[in-house]
Amino acid sequence: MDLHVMLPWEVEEEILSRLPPKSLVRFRAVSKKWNSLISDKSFINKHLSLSRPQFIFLTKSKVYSIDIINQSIDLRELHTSCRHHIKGLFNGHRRLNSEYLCITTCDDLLFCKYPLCLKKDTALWNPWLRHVHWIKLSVDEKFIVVGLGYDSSGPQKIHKILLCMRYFFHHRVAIYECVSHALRFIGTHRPNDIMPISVIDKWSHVSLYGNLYWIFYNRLTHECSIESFDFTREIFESVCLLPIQDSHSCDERVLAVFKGGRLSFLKQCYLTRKIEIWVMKNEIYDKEEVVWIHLMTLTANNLPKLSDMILAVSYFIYDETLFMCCGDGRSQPCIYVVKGDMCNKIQIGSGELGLFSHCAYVPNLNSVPLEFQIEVNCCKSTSLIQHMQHKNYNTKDLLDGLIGN
Amino acid sequence: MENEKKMITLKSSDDVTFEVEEAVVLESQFLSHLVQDCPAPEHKIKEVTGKILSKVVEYCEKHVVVVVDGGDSSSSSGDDLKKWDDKFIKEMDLSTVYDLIAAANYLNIQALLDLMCQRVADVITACKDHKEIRETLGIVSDYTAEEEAEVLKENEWAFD
Repeated sequence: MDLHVMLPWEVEEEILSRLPPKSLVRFRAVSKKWNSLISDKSFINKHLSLSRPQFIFLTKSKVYSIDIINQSIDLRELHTSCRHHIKGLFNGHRRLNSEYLCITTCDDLLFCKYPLCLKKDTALWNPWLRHVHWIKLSVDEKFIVVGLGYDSSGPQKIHKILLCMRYFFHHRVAIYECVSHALRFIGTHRPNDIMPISVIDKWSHVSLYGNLYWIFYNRLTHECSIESFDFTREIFESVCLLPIQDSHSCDERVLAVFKGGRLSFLKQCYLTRKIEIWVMKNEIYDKEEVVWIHLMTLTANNLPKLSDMILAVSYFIYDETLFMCCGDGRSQPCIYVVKGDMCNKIQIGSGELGLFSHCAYVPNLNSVPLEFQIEVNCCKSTSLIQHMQHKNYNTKDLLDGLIGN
Repeated sequence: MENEKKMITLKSSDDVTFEVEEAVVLESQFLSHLVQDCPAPEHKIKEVTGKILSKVVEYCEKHVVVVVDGGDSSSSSGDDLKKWDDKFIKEMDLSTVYDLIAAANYLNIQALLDLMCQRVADVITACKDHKEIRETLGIVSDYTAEEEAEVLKENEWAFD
């Protein structure tokens, strides 16, 4: 085709930032300009801001991405080598058949952990770049992995894992530094129930800018608040009260990330099933008092009863629509697309899927931080690391070594 | 009060004229500044041909109507607009899309620019490999054969 108009490079960049990550990786070979753009940090950020969220869905043996376009779902099995890495996580744990991998996010990456396993293996993963990086924890088996975060005070993020261990009536809380493998207990005077460490991730936390946030219901005061763990200062902190305080303790409340830097709060009335969504007016790092905006009320009469769900509920809001992923009353996983008084239920797969885990995720081109790539002993010099980055290094070989051990 | 809507004439580079309501013109930031700064009845847009300007006018007229009518913007009007947009871009060949991008960029109509960029993005996504993209978009590769082979090898996993 003869195109007589040359597009300005900014427009070309604009167009490319709308492509799914996998297409971009595939099309690195188009030209040098495209190739270097796809590794460019500001392009990666722009691409992220335009990306449509999706769900990452894990069954016992497979990992899928679920994209929802025009009321239908695009279920894609993620690349086999990712799957093998994840399978690797299962290896040796299969006999503990009640346990399964649980998946959350840490910034733009996925963080995989075992809530209960004896072996404390965790992984950071970008499925769209096929980067999987293991963080092996050499800690006592009594520790439970709560979540991953990072110290953001310096120029380099220092990743840490929050661990806890039940100690009579309290939890002992510890920090594990990912690179140095240093483990230390930190003082905490929090009662047991404030920690989001439930075995299933139903009441799990949300990760935002390297810190963890979760909802806490105080049974004594009947107040609902957002609590956090700040990885920079290594302290637990109460962030704010939730916007609806007169709600019943049986109501379902779920946090999620909204538009990059904010939190959204979903509340379902356990009697009427009506769902209300609130979002923060400002980004979370804004140290001003948190202001909540009521975003939408959803009144469809076929909304699922979230409190009946045995497993987690994950959701995101996009294009004035609520997208939810959860098992229905019999634990069959479904996607719900809800707007105004309409709710469209789409079943994921068919038959017995067994236990599953899922989370909302914005596909992106961010690679796993260097510190995790350095961890593998074989690379000692920065030039080698750069080489790895440049080569879009496939960690499979490195990982195979680790898994084998 | 508003029995007489203010009309403005736009003239393309090849002297095709379009008479449009002022509200339509305001969809374009460039034109709204132009209209405010020099209140002439006719404006010549040298950078845009009649064929492309007719598309721009069609788009702006459609989008302005919805904003005016849907004061309590029901979601269906938004959905209808989306359908209209889909139809609008579906009928277009890529060279018209490119011309429209250039026009939307020049006239500063963000929504039209977004729509057109998405259209090209969809075309690119549908391509099966780098060769098809180069062919479709008329891109000349600056890789040597060896460099290209290496990049392809590194990223071959993305092709299955």
